[in-house]
Amino acid sequence: MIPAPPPNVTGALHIGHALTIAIQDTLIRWERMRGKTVLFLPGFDHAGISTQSVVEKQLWKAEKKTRHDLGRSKFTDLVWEWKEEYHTKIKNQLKRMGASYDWTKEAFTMDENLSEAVLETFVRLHDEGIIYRDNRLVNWCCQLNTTLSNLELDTEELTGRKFLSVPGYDEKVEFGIIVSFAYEIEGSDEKIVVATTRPETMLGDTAIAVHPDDERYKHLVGKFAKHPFIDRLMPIVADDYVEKDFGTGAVKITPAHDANDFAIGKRHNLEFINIMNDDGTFNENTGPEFNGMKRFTARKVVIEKLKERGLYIETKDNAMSIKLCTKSKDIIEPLLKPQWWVSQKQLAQDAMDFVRRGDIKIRPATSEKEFFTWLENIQDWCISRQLWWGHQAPAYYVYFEGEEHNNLPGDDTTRWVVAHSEESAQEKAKAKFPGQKLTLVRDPDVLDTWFSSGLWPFSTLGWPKQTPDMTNFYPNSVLETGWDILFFWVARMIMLGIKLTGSVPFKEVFCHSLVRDSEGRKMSKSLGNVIDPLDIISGTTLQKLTDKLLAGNLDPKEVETAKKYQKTAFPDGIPQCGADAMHFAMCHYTTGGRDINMDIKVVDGYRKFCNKMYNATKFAIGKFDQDFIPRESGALTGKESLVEKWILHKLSKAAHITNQSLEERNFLVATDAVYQYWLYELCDVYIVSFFPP
Amino acid sequence: MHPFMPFVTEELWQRLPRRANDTNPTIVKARYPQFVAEFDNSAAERDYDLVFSAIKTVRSLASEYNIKDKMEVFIHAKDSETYETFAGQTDSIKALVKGAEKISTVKEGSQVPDGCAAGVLGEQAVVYLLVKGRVNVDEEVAKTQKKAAKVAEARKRLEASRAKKDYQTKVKPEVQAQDEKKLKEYLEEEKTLEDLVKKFEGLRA
Repeated sequence: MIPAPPPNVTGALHIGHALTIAIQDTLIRWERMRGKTVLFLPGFDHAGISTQSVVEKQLWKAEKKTRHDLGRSKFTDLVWEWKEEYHTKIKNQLKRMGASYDWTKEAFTMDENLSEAVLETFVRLHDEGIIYRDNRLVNWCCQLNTTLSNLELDTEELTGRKFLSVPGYDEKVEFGIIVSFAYEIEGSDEKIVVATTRPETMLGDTAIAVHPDDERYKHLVGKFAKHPFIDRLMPIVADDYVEKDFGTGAVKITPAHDANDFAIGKRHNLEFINIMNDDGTFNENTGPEFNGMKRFTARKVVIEKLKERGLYIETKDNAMSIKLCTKSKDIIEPLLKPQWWVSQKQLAQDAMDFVRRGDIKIRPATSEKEFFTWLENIQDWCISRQLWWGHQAPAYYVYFEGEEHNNLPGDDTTRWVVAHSEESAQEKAKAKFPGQKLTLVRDPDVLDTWFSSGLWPFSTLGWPKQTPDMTNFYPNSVLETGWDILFFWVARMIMLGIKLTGSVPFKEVFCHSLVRDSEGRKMSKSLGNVIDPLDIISGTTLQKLTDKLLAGNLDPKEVETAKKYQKTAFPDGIPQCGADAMHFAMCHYTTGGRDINMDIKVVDGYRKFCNKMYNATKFAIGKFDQDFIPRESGALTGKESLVEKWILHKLSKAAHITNQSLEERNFLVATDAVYQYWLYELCDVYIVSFFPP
Repeated sequence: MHPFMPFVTEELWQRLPRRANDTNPTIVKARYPQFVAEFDNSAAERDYDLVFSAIKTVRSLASEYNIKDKMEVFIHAKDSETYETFAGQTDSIKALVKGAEKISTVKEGSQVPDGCAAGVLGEQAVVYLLVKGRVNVDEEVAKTQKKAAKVAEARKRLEASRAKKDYQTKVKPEVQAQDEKKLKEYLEEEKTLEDLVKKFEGLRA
């Protein structure tokens, strides 16, 4: 049993899918021909964020409406419609690539039974305390308006001052700086100097921290600093976390917008003041001067106003790293939000134990090493997403009689009940708060897409029901996928699989390479090196490739770069190679390395090889009498000529190498063996030996 | 090939006749080839590989001397086993060399006529292509001498490395054995080429 990694319903398939399909389909066909009962299970992923944002963009383009104009139920109906259309499209593309899936078992992460699996998992893990509600700093994407997990972020390293484009801003924004400024001490002429890489966060400052042994500040501890723009007094606190020798030795504390400050805030019981709206503008807590201002505009304005008041000191270059949203490229904002979290320490420990014990073999070795490194340093997983498309959390917030609410859950993390249905939530709530009159409000958030993908190996087989498919095909045999989703997907399936079913979800993991262009660069729309597998199958012209570029939403500069690459890599377009040549080439490229630099000429070479096979077969058929029926068995008759003995020996040898290499998942050697046999032994020698002298 | 190239293999498989009593409707369910002990025949592999290298030698001689038709080929087999192998394969050699007209297998070098170009197949055989009357003698002599000089140079290099004082102690025994075999082959080839020069000279008479 091989579960196909479910492609997103959001768009077209790319060359990575062609590679995945080629490897998995080869293994499945091979095992099927060796007489095994195989299941190659296809399916699709609802891809929460990606799908929702595509549909939102289209809705805006077509009707100038937002999802809020439609409302939740109408909007999700629209996404379903859109999903049906694209689902059918992608399914047809998959069929053209030659994958021998069992379509009768096709699954979708939002099918009724798969959603039931999500519900069951959430309730069970919540009952055990593994899923919990907590009010912490989350990675907030202002552009997509949702929380993201650490895995959904990119990191950009800055060596110093740099201006970056940020979605929603016409001018580039300055990063990689550290700004020093002073706060006045209340009731004295003294000032205390602090430094920050994000000056705008000073609007959320609620304290200044110094080291307890720092002689310079000892007399100030317990006093207050005055906020220059807001009527706010900020205590000066002593904390070991502060490094005396770093900067001025005094640190501004923004508990609601910085991870380190959050911890200090908890320790000293400081005020947590949220200064930001979900869209990245400042709220009323920042005072009338800043209320409603965009966060990076405020960065400039704060500095200007500090200058006006004579509090500004200096700006210096500062090497630092910033977090970006992988999808929108927006700068991630740490925000304080109550969300659902999965405690992963124990799950990771169990997963590592099972793999160490040999219950799962992870290949290649580099991937196994990464698996352990990641699990050893695992942090809890935030699974709440502020979206409408996905599995809504089965969690209900309890309001007592007389409490006001606008149909949204509150911030008290102890007020939640989690249950399969609203009725059973009512019962649980009554038991939890006996004698109270209650109203339940369901959590509007949905769960991270990867939460449902993490159940894929068993939810597709009918779990939590103990179905015949679960008996026959669980654990799965091989989980095959690109190494880039080892953490997103593979590690989570192993953790959740062990937790929920008591068994590993599969016995083997094989991570394949990533396909890059002929110059070794990652494929990306803006480089123009993205290849549609269907273009390889059917062929296309340079003009059509360029047209595709223009149809996308690239900026003009990117279009130029992309055009240039297309002209050098595909001066004559892409030749029609056929599905088989692509299937074969992808296997032949699978050497166990990290990357594949794909050259279309190589694929085209295998098309010519198909001709060779065709001609060889035609020749053989021409040699047979019309009514020729081969003997029942292929055993030797003793009358074989030398060249016949030779070719049978070579056939047997090639079969041996191919079988052995496929056992070892060595696709390069396996494809080489069959190719060499066909071309250099069967065609070039054996068949030629039949030509009349 | 089917697991790697699903479409074309099914198409071709459907056109091929089925074995008696085979009711399987698709290559998808056909049995994948396995190692068959009965087919494992290293003698056949070795013999036909030798025959095939003779074929390749004739092909390259023919192209070297630019001879395209009416080729006359002599194979000097140096032991009786090799003789048997080649004697049974003359038709197959003829089939695989375009323009080959007559293939003779001989046991003695003296049975090969003067005026042939030659290629050496290890210690077992020498392949000759009759070039008399179809080539420029001066050019061929010069070409052959140049070839002989190259082989002699390679031989001398090998001899020099074998003469180094720690060769016996530091070089692995398998490598030493290989070197010894190579040396023998070089000497053999030099002799053949020298003979060939004489044969070309004979063409002048």
